[in-house]
Amino acid sequence: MTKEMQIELKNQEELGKKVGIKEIIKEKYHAAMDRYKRQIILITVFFIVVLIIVILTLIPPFNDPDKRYWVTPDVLLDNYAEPSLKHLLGTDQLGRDHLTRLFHAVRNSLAFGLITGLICTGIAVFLGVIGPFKGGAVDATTSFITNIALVFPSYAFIILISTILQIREWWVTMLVIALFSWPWAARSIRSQVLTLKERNFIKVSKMSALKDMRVAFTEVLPNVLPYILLAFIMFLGGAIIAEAGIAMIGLGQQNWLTLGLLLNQAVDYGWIFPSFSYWLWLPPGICLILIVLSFFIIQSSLSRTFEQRKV
Amino acid sequence: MKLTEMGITEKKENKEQETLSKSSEKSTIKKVISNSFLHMAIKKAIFYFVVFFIAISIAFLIPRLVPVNPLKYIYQPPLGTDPEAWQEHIKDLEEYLGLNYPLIVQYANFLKSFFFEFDLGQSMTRSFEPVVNIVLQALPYTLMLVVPALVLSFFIGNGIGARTGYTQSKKDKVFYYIFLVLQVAPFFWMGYVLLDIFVLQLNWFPWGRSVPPWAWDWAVISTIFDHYWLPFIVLLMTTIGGWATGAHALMVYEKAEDYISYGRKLGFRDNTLRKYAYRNSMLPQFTGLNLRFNELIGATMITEIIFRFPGLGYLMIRAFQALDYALILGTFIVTILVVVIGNYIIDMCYGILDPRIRVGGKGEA
Repeated sequence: MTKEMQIELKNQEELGKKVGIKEIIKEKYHAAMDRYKRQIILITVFFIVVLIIVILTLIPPFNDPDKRYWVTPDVLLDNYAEPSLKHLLGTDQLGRDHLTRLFHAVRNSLAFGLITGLICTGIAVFLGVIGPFKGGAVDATTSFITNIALVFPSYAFIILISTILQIREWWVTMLVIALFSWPWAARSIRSQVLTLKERNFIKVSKMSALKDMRVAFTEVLPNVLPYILLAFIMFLGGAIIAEAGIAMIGLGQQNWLTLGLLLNQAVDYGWIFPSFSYWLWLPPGICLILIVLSFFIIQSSLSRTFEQRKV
Repeated sequence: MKLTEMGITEKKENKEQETLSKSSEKSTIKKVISNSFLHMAIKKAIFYFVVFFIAISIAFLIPRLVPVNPLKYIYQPPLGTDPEAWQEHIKDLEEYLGLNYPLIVQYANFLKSFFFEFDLGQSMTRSFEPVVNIVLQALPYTLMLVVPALVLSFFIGNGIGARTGYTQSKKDKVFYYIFLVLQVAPFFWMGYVLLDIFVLQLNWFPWGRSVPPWAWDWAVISTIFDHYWLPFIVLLMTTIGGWATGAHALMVYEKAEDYISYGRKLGFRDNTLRKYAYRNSMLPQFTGLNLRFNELIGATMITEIIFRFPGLGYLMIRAFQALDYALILGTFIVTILVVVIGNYIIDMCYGILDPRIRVGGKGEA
C-alpha cells in the first residue's frame, strides 16, 4: 500500500463522514467563503461604514444638519470656523457644523443613487430582455432606441432640461439622470439574453408552451442577474457623480442635502470669500471619490468572479 | 469601467469570427472590403442623420414648451413708456423672429431655413446677431479642448495602462491605483480644486470672461492659452484615468492568452511580446472611443462652465438661462453635429481597422 493510496483512503473516509445536511451546508458555506472571500469582506466593510454613518445621522449631536452654532448667543455666529476639536470639520457660512452636514449628505447621496440606480436598472432590464424575447418589430424598435440613446449627447440634454425646467425638485434631477444613463446596460444585457436564448433549457421551456414573458422573467432573468447586479452598482456610482456634477454648477435639486448640494454651497460661499476654506470643499469631494471608488472596486472584483464562473 | 466589461465580452465574440475571415483570398477580400465599407458608410450615415434629426427636434420643442415669453423678460419696457405701445413693440419683434406662428409652422420654417440656407435665426439677447456667427466663434474653443484631450489621453492612457497591465510590478500597481483614483475622481470637483489652487491662491492663470476671440496674433493666442491650460489638464487627467484602467484590465486578460506563453517559450523578448499583446488588446478600446467621446463632450461643457472658457458649453448655459430660443437651438445643433460627426469618424476608423466589422455587416460598435 503506497502512501498515495493511504491518503486517498483517508479522503474517502472523510467524505463518508460528511452526510448530514448540516455538514453539506457548512461545506458549501466554506466553499463560498473561499471563493468570494475578498468580495464578501469588501461589501461587509462598505455596509458597516454606511450603517455607522446612517446611525450617526440619527443620534445627537449629529442629528440636526441645520443647527447653528453661536459664539455669543443670538449675536455672533460661529461661521467659517476652522477645523478644531469642537467642530472636527469646521463650520460653514451659516455656522452649521460641517461634519454633521457631511454625514447627512453622504446618507442622502447614497439614497439618491439607490433610487436612481433602481430606475435605470428597471429601464435597462425591461428594454434589454423584452427585445430579444418578443423579436421582430419589438426587437428592432428597442435596439434602435438603445442605439440612438447610446450616441445621444446626454449631458447637453441634462443641462438643457435642468436649466429650463427651473424646478429644483429631487425627482426632476433623478428622472433627468435616469432618462439618459441606461443605454449601455440595456445593450450589454440584450447581448447576454441573445446568447442565452439559444441555450437548450430556454428552448425546452418555450416548447412547453409557457408564455414568452414568463420564460423571460423566470428562466432568463435569473441567469443574467450577475450582469444586472453589476450594472446596478455602476448606475449607483454614476448617479451619485452625475447628481453632484449637476448640483455643483448650480442646476441641481435643492431639497435633499446631498454631496452635490454641499459642494454647490462650498462653491458659492467657501471659495472666494473668505479665501481657502478648504474644509468646506475638500471633505465632500474626498467622500465622493471614496464612495465611487468603493463601488468601482466592488463591481470589478464581482465581475472578475462572475467571469471565472462562466469559464 | 463599463467599457472594459462590454469590451471583454465583445472581444470574445470577435475571436470566434476571426477564423472565418482568415480563410478568404486576397483578391476577394479587396472586393468585399470596398463593397461592405461603402455599405457600412451609408448605413451609418443614415443612422446618424436620424439621431441628429431626433435630437434637434427635441431641442426645438423643449424650450418652446416652457410657458414663458422670453421676449417679455429680455425687453423690459423703459421708464415712462406706454405699456400698450410696448406690447405692440413686442408683437412686432415676435413677428420679426417668426414666433407668432403656431408651433408646427415654426418647426417647418426652422427645418427649411436650416437645411436649405444653413440659417439658424437671430439671437434675442445679443441684439439680433445671426446665431451662426456666434456659434462658429465658440466652436473652435470647444474643439481645441475636446480633440487634443481625446487623442492624447487615448495614446497616453492606453500606453501606460497596457504597460502596467503587462508587467504588474509593484511600481506599476502604484501607477494603477493612481489612475483608478483619477478615473473615479469627479472632473468638476477637480476643476474647482485646480481653479482654487492655481487661480485664486497662486494667481498663476487668469480667469473670467476676458478670453478674446481667436485671431492670428501672438498676444491674443498666448492670452487664450493662458485660459486654456487648466481646463485642458482637468479633461486630460480624468480621461487618461479611464483609458488606463481599461487598458490595464484588457492587458491582464491578453497576457493569459496561449500565444503569449507560447511565444515566451519560443524565446521571444518580452518587449516584442508586449507589442503583440498591446496590438491585440487595443481593439475593444476603439469600441469604447464613441462612449468616451460622448462623455468627454459633456465633461467639456461643464468644465467650460466652471472655468468660464467661452466654448459651446458656456454659451449654451447662458442661452438657456435667458431662454434665447435661437441661440439654444444653434448651440445645440452645433454640439450635436460635433457629437454625430465625431462618432461617424470613429466608426469609420474602426471599420478600417477591423475588417470583421464590415464583413459581418454589423457596424453598430
